[in-house]
Amino acid sequence: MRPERLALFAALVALSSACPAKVDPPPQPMVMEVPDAGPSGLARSARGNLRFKGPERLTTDFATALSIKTDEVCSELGKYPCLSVHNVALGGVDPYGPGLYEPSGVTAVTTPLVVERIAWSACSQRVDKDLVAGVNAVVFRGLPMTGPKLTNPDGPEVTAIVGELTHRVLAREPYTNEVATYVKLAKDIEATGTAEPAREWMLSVCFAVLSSTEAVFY
Amino acid sequence: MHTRLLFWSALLLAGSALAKPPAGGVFCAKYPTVPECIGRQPACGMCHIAAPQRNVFGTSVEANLAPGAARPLSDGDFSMALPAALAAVEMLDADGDGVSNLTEIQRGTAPSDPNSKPVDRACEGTTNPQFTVCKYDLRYVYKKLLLDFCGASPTFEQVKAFLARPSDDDRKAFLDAEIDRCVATDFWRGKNGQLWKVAHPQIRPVGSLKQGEDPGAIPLADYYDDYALFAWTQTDDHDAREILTADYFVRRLGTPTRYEKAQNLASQKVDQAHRAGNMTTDWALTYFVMFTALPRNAASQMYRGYLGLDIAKQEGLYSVPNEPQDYDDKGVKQAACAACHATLDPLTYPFRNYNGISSDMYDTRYIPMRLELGFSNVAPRIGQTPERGVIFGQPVNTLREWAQVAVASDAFAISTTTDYWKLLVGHAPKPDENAEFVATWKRFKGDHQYRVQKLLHDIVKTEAYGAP
Repeated sequence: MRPERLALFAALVALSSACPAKVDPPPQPMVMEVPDAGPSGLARSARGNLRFKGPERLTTDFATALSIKTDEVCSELGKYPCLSVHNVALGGVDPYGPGLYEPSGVTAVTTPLVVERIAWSACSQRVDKDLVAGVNAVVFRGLPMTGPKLTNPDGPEVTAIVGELTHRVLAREPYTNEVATYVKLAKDIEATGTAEPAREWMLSVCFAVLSSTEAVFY
Repeated sequence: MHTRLLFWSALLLAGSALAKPPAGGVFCAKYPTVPECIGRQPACGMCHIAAPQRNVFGTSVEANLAPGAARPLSDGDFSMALPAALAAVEMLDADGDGVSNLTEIQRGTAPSDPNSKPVDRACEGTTNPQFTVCKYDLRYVYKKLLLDFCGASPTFEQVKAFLARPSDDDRKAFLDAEIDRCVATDFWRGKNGQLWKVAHPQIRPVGSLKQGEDPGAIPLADYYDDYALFAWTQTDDHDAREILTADYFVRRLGTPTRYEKAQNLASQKVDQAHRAGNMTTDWALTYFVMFTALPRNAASQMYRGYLGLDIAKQEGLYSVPNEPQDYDDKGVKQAACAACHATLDPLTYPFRNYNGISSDMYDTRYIPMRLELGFSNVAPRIGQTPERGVIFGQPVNTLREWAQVAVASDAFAISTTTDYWKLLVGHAPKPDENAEFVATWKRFKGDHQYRVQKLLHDIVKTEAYGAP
């Protein structure tokens, strides 16, 4: 384990044992039933005009959803904003240098990699901040933990976190199948024997929601 | 008689000049209500890959064009024969996509391209809990609108508050107010904001040549002035036509960004009497006129950037009789060149006294007798180049008159509307969106008197924008 992770883990253990029940979790979401598609399925979009959010909107939405500063969402080598480094891959324009006056209009081969890079960076920051923030945690708050593990992966606090993320990122309530999937994810991660299953779950569920089609396109 | 009527209609459509080639005019005389003919004429690409080489549709038409007559046909014979040739192939399917040529023409798809054919979108399936699929959906629009104009999705609380509003009318009024709020933000009008992105293809900046703020390695001119004028004309209650007709400049101030009019700027040199908006800025003359005597590049860029007509793609050809004259001895009288230069050269003449950065006269301003003073060695007849030119078949004496004709054209309204349609809807108008698109640019030109902010409200209200 890397030293900074060890320190984080120690802080986590200390905090979880010192004040295990003082932080209220987010309110329970109004979990929605998965709509019955029926024999002919859900109504399909007639136009199919999904648009990729692109560099500015994506970064702003990630930052707002996770309550972090826009310029802190992601940087390469700790110096260069991902927004600038990956601007063209994210569908941006670059008029002053290479003369790219209009966006290409299509996502590139590397676009998914960059989106995931930024989502992972944003989630890492939010999770690590919340793990040491105690009562001031913003998203991942009020989760009972036993050491590095979630005390109760089936508990209402986990559902509350899923709801909080869905509200923040997708501006809607979660569906029952989404909650079930993310609860199962907590158990699956713990079964891998990883050293920090609670942190890994937080990261994974954040990443899954942030990098979903619904969060990346509009 | 009917054929003759079409022929004379085509000639009239082409303006005072006899169109050469006249195919677009004849086509629109035969099919006046099809999408390709609403406020425009089909480009040569309707029948040609690159003239004179024909695509599959053009080949099909040519086979029925005055069969047996000696080639080449005169313009008159061509115009007389084309309607019958078009009629003869209406029921055929040149590109083999299963749709007849006539249907493709009527629906605005390309009869020469199997990948371009009408799409009838049926609403399939039952319901969708998140969207009112196939119908204008206010919740869907709310999210899109905030992302497009403000750059961020609405929060969960904002969505709940929006849905809790008492009626759809109240929600629509709220959306209108949100547009007005967002277009005042820096995301929309600030440096490198959405408006600047619309302007990039028109201004075509080059960072290494930038003067002033953010200077490049070879600072020659400050194109931020061009962006400032653009942003000014596209915001608040300002007239978008002034992007080509303004005799003033605009400076950008502070954060949040503001723009204000200025009669003069230290970075701009053209005198007020000869200014024509972004066509005569220091940057435009530096970059588009540059070293040339007869700046065809400047004329074609303005035609492309602000009127949406790309001569390189054989769009917007309104040939002028007895042109090109080739005053600068560039060989443009050759048949392969003349088809475009019969339009382009008269379009360029009004630029003859606007100077760029030639080494003899490095002075980006209007210089009377410029060609005689600084370019007499270019060609023996260069000094005979008139300032009087022609745009859309209409003679103009000066570049300012050129600008007036340009902004009064349907092409200007269509081009401006297309720019914002692409920005907001995400693509150029598709054939099935044509009816809404035509209504939108006509309102922009008519009811809204070229106010972009009103145009934006109109686009948001279209099904193309708001029906998932």
